[in-house]
Amino acid sequence: MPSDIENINPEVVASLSEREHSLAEDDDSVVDPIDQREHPLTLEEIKVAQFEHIRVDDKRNSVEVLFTPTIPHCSMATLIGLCIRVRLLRSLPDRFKVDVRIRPGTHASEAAGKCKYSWSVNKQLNDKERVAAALENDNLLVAVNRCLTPQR
Amino acid sequence: MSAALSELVAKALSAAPGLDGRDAALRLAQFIAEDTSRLTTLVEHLAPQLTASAGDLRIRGTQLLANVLKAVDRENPSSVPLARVLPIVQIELLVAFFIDRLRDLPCVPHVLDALTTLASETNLSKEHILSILRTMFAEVHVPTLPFGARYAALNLLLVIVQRYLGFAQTAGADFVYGLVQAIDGEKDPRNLLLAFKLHVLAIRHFPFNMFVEDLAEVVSVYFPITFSPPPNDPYGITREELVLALRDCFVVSPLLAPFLLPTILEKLASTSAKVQSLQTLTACASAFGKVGLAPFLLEIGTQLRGEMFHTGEEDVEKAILETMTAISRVISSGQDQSLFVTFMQPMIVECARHLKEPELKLAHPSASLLQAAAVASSSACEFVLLNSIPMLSEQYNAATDVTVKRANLDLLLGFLKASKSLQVTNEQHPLATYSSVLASIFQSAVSHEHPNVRCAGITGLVGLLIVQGVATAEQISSSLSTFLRLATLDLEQIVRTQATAALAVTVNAEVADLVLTSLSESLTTVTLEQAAARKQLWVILTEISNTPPLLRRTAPLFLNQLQTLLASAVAMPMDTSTTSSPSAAASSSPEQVEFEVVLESVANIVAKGASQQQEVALRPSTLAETILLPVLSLAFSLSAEPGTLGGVVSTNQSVVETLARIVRNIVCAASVQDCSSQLSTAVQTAFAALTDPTTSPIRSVDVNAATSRKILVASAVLCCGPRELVLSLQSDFAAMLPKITLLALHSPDADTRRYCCMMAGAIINHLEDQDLSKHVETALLPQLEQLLRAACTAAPATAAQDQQQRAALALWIWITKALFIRGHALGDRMVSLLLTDCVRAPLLADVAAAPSSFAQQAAESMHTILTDSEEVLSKRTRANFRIMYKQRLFTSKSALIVQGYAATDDEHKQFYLTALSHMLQNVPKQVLLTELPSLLPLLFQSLSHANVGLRLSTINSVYLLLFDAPALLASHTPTLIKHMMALSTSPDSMKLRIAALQCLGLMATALPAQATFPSRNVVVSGLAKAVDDPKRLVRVEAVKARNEWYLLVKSTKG
Repeated sequence: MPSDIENINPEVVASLSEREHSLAEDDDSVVDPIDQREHPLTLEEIKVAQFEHIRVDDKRNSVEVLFTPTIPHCSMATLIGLCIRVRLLRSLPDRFKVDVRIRPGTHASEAAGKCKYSWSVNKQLNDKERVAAALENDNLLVAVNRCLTPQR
Repeated sequence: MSAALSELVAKALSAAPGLDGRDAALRLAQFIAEDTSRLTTLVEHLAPQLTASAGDLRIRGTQLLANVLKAVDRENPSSVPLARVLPIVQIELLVAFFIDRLRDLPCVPHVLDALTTLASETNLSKEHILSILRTMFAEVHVPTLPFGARYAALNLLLVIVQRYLGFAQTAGADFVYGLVQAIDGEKDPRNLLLAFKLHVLAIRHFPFNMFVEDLAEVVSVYFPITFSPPPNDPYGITREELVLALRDCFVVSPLLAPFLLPTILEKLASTSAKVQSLQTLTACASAFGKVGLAPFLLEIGTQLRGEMFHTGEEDVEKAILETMTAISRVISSGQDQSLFVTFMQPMIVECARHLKEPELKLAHPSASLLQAAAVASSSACEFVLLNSIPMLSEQYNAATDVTVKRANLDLLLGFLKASKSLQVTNEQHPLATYSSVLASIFQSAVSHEHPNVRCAGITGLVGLLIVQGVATAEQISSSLSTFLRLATLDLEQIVRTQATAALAVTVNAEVADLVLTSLSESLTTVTLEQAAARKQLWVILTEISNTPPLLRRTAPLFLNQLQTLLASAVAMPMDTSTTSSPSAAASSSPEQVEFEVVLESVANIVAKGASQQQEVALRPSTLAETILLPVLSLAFSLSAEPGTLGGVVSTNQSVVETLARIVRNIVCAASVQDCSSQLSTAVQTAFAALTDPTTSPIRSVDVNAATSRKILVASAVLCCGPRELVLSLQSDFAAMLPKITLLALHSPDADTRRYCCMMAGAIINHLEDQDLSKHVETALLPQLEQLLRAACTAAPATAAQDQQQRAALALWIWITKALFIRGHALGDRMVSLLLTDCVRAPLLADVAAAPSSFAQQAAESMHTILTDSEEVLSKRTRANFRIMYKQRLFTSKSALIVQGYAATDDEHKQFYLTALSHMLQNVPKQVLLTELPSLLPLLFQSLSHANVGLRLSTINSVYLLLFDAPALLASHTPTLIKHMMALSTSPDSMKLRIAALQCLGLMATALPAQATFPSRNVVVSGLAKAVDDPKRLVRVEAVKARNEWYLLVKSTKG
């Protein structure tokens, strides 16, 4: 129902096109550097996740994603963050440490104290135990999976 | 006789109801049908039952009589109608008896049955009909009867209305009243279908004015139909059927409008059956007319707007717009437009409000509503355009923001498109008033900095141009030059493409001069070095050559250019043998680039024209007339004169193949009726080229640059022609065959050998049986078989011998295909030889030196035989073939593979697997499924075989099987997963890893969750390595596959 949707008309931008596949890549002996990894999310199109705000450090095994909720009071921020995090956990090798945070200054609850919850979204998202616990919850898992199901 | 009858009656009466009872009645009926005078005796016999005071006895008697009447009619051996069998007196007596019995409640169901039989099979008098109706309406309360009786009652009424309409009409309004009573409260869909039919008939043929409201109410309660048939419904009544039957009741008279429209509108607002309500409203609009609609127009308008702005569903939106058009069509007809204006005024006001914010969500639905109203009629269109175009134009001109400008433009395009579909006969098109306003807007849009705006501007100009009588001559010519400018000079590819497409749509014979002059001018001013610009010019020419008159004008441009280029002098590349490799292509001369571009353009035109699709105006006959002979003579006359372009391209394989493709496409599509002269000239030319005593490419095996080219092009003409043509060439073919096969076996040039094999195959495919046994079975095949047998017994001693045997095998394979597809017995034997002895041929000692061995080639033959080749022996190239040859091959030969695999040594097993893999990929799945269980073990073997190519093709087979036979593979899920996981990290090739990962990803969705879920964790953790693969393309697939498996949840359905 339309009334359930927050921010019906977000600004839509074109997504980055897939990097072109060069002939050299077909050669098995060439090793592609790993930081050319694709960012798989179409959240990109509504500027929630942007290429500029993703940092990948292959040597130190760390990935940091800053995302931007479309409006400052977006109630979906936690779910979006959780989805991004789950997607990365599922898609990246285990050696990476993944950080998913709201981009500073774009959401009402990014830090503790500013909102009625004692835990900020950022803290929730990066607490391994809380994420694991969240995914134990069947309803939440269904919601996350629904977000991550490719459109066919 | 009487004794026999009484015995039958006794049996029928004592039989249990149901099947037994019906059986007994049937036997009785047969007995009576033999001699109809026995019916009287039967009635006499039944007297005790028919007049009994005990209810159940009477029921049984009446039922038996009704059943016998029904059965007599059906069982009558000479199928004489009841009416002729029974004397009138008897019929009258029976009818009178049954009418009287209508008062006997317990017997009513059977009485109705009997009356229906009598009414439909005999001719009753007016008095009887009226008496039936009167008694029935007075004595029988239909709604309280059980289902079968209600059905019988409605059926009786339907029979009466259909057979005795004149009699029934004298009952007048009483009939209508009775009917309303009878169908009131009916719930069973079977009865409702009858009731709806009766309802329509009653309104059509009876005076119903007194009961309009009742008639409306008795059917409106069923709206909207929510019936959904139970599973395995034996009656086969669908919801759609009921919906349509009810709709017929609604639209039958405009007098019902005041009672029905409120119901429809209320249901539209309150139920989820939006589409049904809207479609009914659409149907009612034309049925009720202006008068019926008038009081409800404002309400309808408000509701349509409300639904339009709130619905998110496409089909509802479509239904709303259809309703809008239907209503607009009704109320805008005729001279008096006041009703239309009343209806549209609030619509315009509200929609205009949204159109003022074109970039917001409601602008498009508003525009769609107005457009739907506009397409209904010329006057409606005029009104809508008057209220939208000036406003939007003004907004467009005032806007500074790109998004707003673009949004405005889109809305304008919508109105343009809507008025385009309007059929205007003799008056001026309403759009014509605005053509100058719109043209100037679109002209300004095409020079906007934003490419999307320019594209929209192009679309707008095209719209103006293709509506008849809207654009002025001046506007047409300025638009065309705009398109030309954009198509050639715009910096954005997307705009150039759009402008080219615009030219393709708008250029016709009348304006061709303007465009062609301009293009020819550009071709002379743009130099060969400006390759990209020239290419675009040729693309434009290709696109506009889409009708016969235009192609007749453009074809000479292409062909002359090719001729001119061939004669031009170029520096020879250093090494002519490498012209087809990419590095040589990169350094090819501008002339050669241009030549290839022009040739490719011709090939594109031909491919489009030969496709024979509905929407393509070009026909093969036009292609044959304009292109076939010039290209053919060009292909044969290419001279290898050094220093000219002709010398360079005459040996360039891709050029030669393109030439052959152009010729083949035309010949394959051309028919003898339309193009006989061109085809016969082409055949003569091709024969001349092959058999000319001095230049013939087939007179000796000496290799010559022109040999393979001439053979390929000639076979394109000779082997793909219509059947009549090929048959007339039989003797020539037979004479030519030995030379062709000699070349196929002994030519030092690989291409020549290949083309000759194909040509030999095509010739043999068409040979008559007599020629076949003379030239092939007794002459050619024994010779080939001897060579093959030699290869099968010992490994070749020399490279020359190896090549000789390979050539023999290649020719054997093509001949096998030629014979097998036409269903010849020889073909079957030849396939068996391939799959037994040839696949087991001894290998060279040094396997690494010859990666593709004789046996491998024999295994690959399945690919050649089972796939459709572009050149010859396919349906398109008019091969002589019997359908389902793939199925035949598979069912008769798959056993050979299984046996051969089991019997052979390890080294040769892979060849059987290769052959199998080709079969699996090319045989239709229906046939596969029965044989597959015995083949699966072989398939799994192949997945762990050392041969990379084999593994790859097997993975592809499995991939396809996942779509075709998921149930079968599901039972092998763990094995399959084990193999695929191993392959997903195989160091041998990234292609293997990618294919295996794609297969794994598909398994997660294609196989049932019961089969896959138990392995979920194994796969997910196993893929951790693949997502860290050194190759990017592998990682992409690994991530996709792993995410699919993560998404698996435990099946709740068990």
